[in-house]
Amino acid sequence: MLLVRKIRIHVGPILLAVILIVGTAAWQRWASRSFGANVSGSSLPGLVAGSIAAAIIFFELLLWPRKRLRRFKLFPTKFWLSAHLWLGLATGPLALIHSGYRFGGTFSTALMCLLFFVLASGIYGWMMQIVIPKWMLGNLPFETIGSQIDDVSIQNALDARRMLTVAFGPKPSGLTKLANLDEISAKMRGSSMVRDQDGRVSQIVVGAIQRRGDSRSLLEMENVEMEFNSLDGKEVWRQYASVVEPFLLRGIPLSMENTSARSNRLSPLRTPLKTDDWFGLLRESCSLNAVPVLESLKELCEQRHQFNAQRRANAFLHGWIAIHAGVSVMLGILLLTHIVLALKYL
Amino acid sequence: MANEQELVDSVEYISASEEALFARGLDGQLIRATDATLDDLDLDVQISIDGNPFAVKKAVPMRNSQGVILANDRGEIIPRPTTIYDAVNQLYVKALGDVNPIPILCHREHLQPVGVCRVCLVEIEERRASGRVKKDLVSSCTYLVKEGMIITTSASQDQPKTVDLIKNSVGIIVELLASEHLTRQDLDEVRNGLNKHDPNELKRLVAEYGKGDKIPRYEPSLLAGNRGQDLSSEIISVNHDACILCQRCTRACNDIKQNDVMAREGKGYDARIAFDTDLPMLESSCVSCGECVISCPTDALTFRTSVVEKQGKKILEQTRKSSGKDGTVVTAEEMLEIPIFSGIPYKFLQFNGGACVRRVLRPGESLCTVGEYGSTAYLIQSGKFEIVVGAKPQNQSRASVSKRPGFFQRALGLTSRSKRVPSLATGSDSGMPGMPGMPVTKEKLYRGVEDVILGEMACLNRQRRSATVVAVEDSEVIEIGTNVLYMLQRNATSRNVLNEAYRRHALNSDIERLPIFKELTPAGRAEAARIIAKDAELMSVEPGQAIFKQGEKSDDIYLIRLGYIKVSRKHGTREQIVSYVGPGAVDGASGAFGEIAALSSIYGSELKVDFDQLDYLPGVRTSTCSALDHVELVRIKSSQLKQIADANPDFKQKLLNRARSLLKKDTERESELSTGKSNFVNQGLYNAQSLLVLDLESCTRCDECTKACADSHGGETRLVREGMRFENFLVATSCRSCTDPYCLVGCPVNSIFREGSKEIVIEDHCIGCGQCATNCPYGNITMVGHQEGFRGEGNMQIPLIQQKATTCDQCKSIGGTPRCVYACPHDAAFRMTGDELEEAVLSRKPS
Repeated sequence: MLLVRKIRIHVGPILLAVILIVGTAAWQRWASRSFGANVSGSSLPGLVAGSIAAAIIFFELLLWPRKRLRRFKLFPTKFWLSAHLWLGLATGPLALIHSGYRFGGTFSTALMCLLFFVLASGIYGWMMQIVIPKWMLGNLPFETIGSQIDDVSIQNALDARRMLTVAFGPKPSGLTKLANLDEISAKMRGSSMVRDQDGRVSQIVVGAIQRRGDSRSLLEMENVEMEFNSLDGKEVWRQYASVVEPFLLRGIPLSMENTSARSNRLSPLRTPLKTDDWFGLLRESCSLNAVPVLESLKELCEQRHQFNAQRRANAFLHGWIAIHAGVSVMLGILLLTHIVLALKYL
Repeated sequence: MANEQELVDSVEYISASEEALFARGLDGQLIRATDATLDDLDLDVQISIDGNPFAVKKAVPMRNSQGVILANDRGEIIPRPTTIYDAVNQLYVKALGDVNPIPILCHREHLQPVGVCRVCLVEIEERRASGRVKKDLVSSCTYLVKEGMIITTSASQDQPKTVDLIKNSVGIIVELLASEHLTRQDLDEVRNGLNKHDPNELKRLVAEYGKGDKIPRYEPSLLAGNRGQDLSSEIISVNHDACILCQRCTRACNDIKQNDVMAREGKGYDARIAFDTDLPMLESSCVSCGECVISCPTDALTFRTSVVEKQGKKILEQTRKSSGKDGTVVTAEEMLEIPIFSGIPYKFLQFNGGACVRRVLRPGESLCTVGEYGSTAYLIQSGKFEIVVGAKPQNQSRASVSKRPGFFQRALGLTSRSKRVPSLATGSDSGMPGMPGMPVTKEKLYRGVEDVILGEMACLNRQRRSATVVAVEDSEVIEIGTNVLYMLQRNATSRNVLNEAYRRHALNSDIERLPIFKELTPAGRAEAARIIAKDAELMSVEPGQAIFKQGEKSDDIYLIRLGYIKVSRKHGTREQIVSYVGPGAVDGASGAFGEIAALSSIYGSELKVDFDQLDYLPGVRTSTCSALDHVELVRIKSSQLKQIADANPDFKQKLLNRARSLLKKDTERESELSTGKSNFVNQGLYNAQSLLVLDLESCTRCDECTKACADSHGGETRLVREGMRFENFLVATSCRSCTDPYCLVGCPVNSIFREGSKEIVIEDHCIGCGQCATNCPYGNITMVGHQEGFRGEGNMQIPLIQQKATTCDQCKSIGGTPRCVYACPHDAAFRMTGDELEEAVLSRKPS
């Protein structure tokens, strides 16, 4: 049902694109036959094809303001995008028909190249947006909202600290210092008196303050009734402070300090395989009772791996847009120049 | 010095063996901890109250603050021992306006009794194990009735001396409290005559029971007037001097609202109420719901005057806007003059000023329309109304009303082409009310003043209105909000009036239209409705409660009026959900369940061959049915069904055929159980009318949906692109317009409601208590701060941020098309029902 709906959206723009291409190509062909050679932009069919292509290009550029004006009902965006895709694809053939299948001078060649570069970047992005969501769906079950990755990571770290405190007691002194998350933690908890950096009340909140829930692993941990070993506790806290939490908070870089040795710069948990090995070694150095805690920590690390992968996937998903939009604007400017020049020397 | 006999009595009174039945309260007093048994619910205890022999049950069903009878996991009623106060209430309070003669201060019907104030004194005479009869003054709210007990209250005509003793004792207690907790101004008011509706219950008691000209007779302690105030909160003022430590506020906060903010702190004269770890109210986790204020019997907790004024204005504006009709506001004083409202706290009515509106209707004017949602009920003051059940005016489809044309449609003049077909993208509905499959009737009923109330069903069950109500003569009603109805439910008398009206309306309006009877002729349907309405029981089942269990022997048949039930079966120790069913959606759309056991017990001989073949024991339940949400059922005895079936041979044959096919289907089900249904049911998707579903295969995570939502609603998004996943679909965190929205329950100011169509709307007079956000099991309501003025602290102006609940109204407020779906460039966002999602998921699943 949904698939049928999706196809329906594209039928109109596809038909229009095909009609435009076939119609102008046939007209151009007919005109060329009577002229004896391929007619170009100065002929009526060429001019019409060029005008249509130009109109489409300017229409394509309108997608950006349309997206900005989200709150207005300016026709559903999916129809805009469908038209953007199929009519956009038609601009290539239409431009070729307009030019009489020739590149012409330097300027028109540059314009044509830019057009095809825009088309290529668009097609690349289109493919990315078809392939990557499917990949993410299958491979990133812990996926979260891209902009929330840092917040979720901090929450995970706070939950992990609470879990270790519940299991082994507070962090022993003398171990690597943990990052100061108090301020962030207080912000997450919310308060009716919001204070500024100097401790002065900057806002008074009246009413209920929504609080975030605990992560799944922690909730599971609290139900575990086990006796934990204090030696395990010291070791797990030590490894947590020096390796696990930096990874949870920052991902692959182990330290913000710039050290020369690569092994010192990168986390030993930087790949899923290394994480597996690392936790395997840690498990060996602890008693069996610590296993549920280590499993929960490992799950948080796996989640972090997925966040890292999600970041990369998001870059592929959306990174191309800057290039596509940038060259599209350049194309628009060159096209305007082309039109002005063409009209001037008509 | 106690004599020997008294010592024996006192030992027997709380003997060592009985010690375990008691516990010491916070103040060191012994409190009863006797558990009642289920048998006690039926066991009569003969007592005498003021010379009247009277029989009461040894226990009564335990109820929550709304009067809902509580049941345990096994579906059994939880009993609690009957107190003297309960018994006196049963004797004296039978109709609206009747008064219990026992004065109360710390006790209220909807609160757990604690017996701290001792104002509810009565004299009892009871025979001890020693054979001696002992008289005593006891607090009636905590003391349990015992066989042969003779109770004398202050209303006794035969025992003037005892009455004097009781009144004197109460007088001493209230004057002692008054000396410590009333101001000079309060005492002057008491001496000079109180305002009839003065909210200070202590003042009223002192006026009634205080003795002589010099009230109070006692000197206050040194601490009196020096306990201080907490004025930190913007909503509530705390005056510790006026606090009598009755614990009504703490019980309201902890037991009713379950906010767990308030408690008693300190000892002796220093004791006082405290918030969290004795923080100023503003800095505590208080959500400013006001429950403590409306529970407070003195001036210890009051709403700030500016807040009451501001709130009153907002509510009035809203009441006028939402009803679209003119009406005059009924003041708190006027409300309290109406008997049914007499139990509602003045402070509640004051805080909700403007919520009750008097409306005058001319003949032909309609009060409400079938199929629409509503959040107000109407107390009939005069006149007569015609009730048209089931029929919906042709020209009032919500879908067509709410469909606002878009920019291009308006520009191109395409406004007349609005579709009325349900749309996946917009989630709009065609809006036919009531139970699916029900024949629409045009039967007309009439209601008048004797029916007390109209329109209460839509408020209490949160479903569409089941009838159109039109005035047939000049009439007057008082329109009240759901929050006022909730308050009425806290009082047994008004609750009984409401329940009776509800039962009458529910049974009259729906039974004839139940799908199970659609095979009958109109006359047969009317007769069936008559038979059922006579003896059928209207049951209300709370979420999770079992209706019947697999393997049980019983022969009742149940018709679902509202809500959804879960049909499950045990396989070893594992429970597997077979299906979930709602009104009219039970197998074969009969709207009934439990038929196999019922039909097998009444037509055992006709069905014997089939039973033997399928190895079925007649009368035994084949599965467990339990409520998924708030469910209302009509329980019909199998004998009633037999009476209907015997009079209609065709109907009987159809029932028998149905029993055979159901039994066969049940047997086949054994082999086709899957876990898919469980996930669907456990996540509450059956309840969803408009889920925001994202197809993750097409979604590019561009967040256009979220941005569109935020852009359209003042920069605050009402959806979060996170949630449960079903195959490749993500159910985003956004209001799903549940058929039974939990969020609507318990709003203290009725700011969250459904009016007309299915979308949930939160109005500006929300006080930000977060009750709706807590109630929503799907996290679809968020608390958002809005700046509302400043507070001056020295030379600083600190911004005040008023929290308000915010939820997706599917863009009803800005034209009706959900912008999240409209803005999705990849056609990955949809609005769909839970059933449609299930269908979509199944179509994607590899077989």
